[in-house]
Amino acid sequence: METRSKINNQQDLWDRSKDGNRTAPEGRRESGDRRCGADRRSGYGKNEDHLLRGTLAASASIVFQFSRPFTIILGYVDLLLNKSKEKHTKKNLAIIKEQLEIISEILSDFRELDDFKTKNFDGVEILTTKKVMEDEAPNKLDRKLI
Amino acid sequence: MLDMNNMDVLLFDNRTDQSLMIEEMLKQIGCRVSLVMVKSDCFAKLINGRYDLVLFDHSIPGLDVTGFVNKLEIIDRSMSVAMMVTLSSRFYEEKYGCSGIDYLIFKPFGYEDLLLLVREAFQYSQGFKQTILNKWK
Repeated sequence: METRSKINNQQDLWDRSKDGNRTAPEGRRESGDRRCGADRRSGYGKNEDHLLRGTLAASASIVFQFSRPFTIILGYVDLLLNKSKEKHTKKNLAIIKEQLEIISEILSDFRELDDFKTKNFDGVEILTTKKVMEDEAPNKLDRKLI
Repeated sequence: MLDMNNMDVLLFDNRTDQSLMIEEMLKQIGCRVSLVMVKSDCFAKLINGRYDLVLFDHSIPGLDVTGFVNKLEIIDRSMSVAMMVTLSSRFYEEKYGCSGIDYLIFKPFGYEDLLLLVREAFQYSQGFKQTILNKWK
């Protein structure tokens, strides 16, 4: 008999026609949370949407402004590398090219950004791109130093 | 091994600094390059001579990309069309997916990237010529 009464009580809790059980939906309306169920469950909403839009605009602007100067620099470094016959100059140009390729990769990550995720770096929130995620793992040199 | 000494490239770019660098790289690859900075000069060159590849910049102010590429296709369908771009690939897929642009080259690019593009364009152009020749035989 006890079990039966427990079930009855649970059914009462889910009965929306009873006044006492209407508190949860009203609370959500008061808080101004108008997200759909799927967005609420994933923790996504208007603020996240604004952040993503801002981030996408900023990253597109960075890529757009930086791409042309870097193309010219990278192009001339390549041309000099092909022409140069001196070993020392070639070595230095190769280092410059390597660094420019890293910048190129970063720009490529920014270009294809479609998500807003941040990472805490010494108390500062920085945008997570593929390059930042790769940097989390210590490289060979770091392991040696450790 | 492809011999790209016979390849004619029409480079359309309104920025002197960038276009001179690309022209030099294309010459080093072994292409014959014609450089134009205005749209009307570009069409005048295309009407007077045949080119294997047209390479132009997306960021040319006031350029209607779709209209420009449509006109290129009317002049010569066998010619490859490549656009130098900066924004995300998703944007270009959505906006210019069906416009007739054959290749996108993302900035910043170097000598190797340009060489790869020229090779592919040359293969395409040669393949197209072969198909036309076979049709006439």
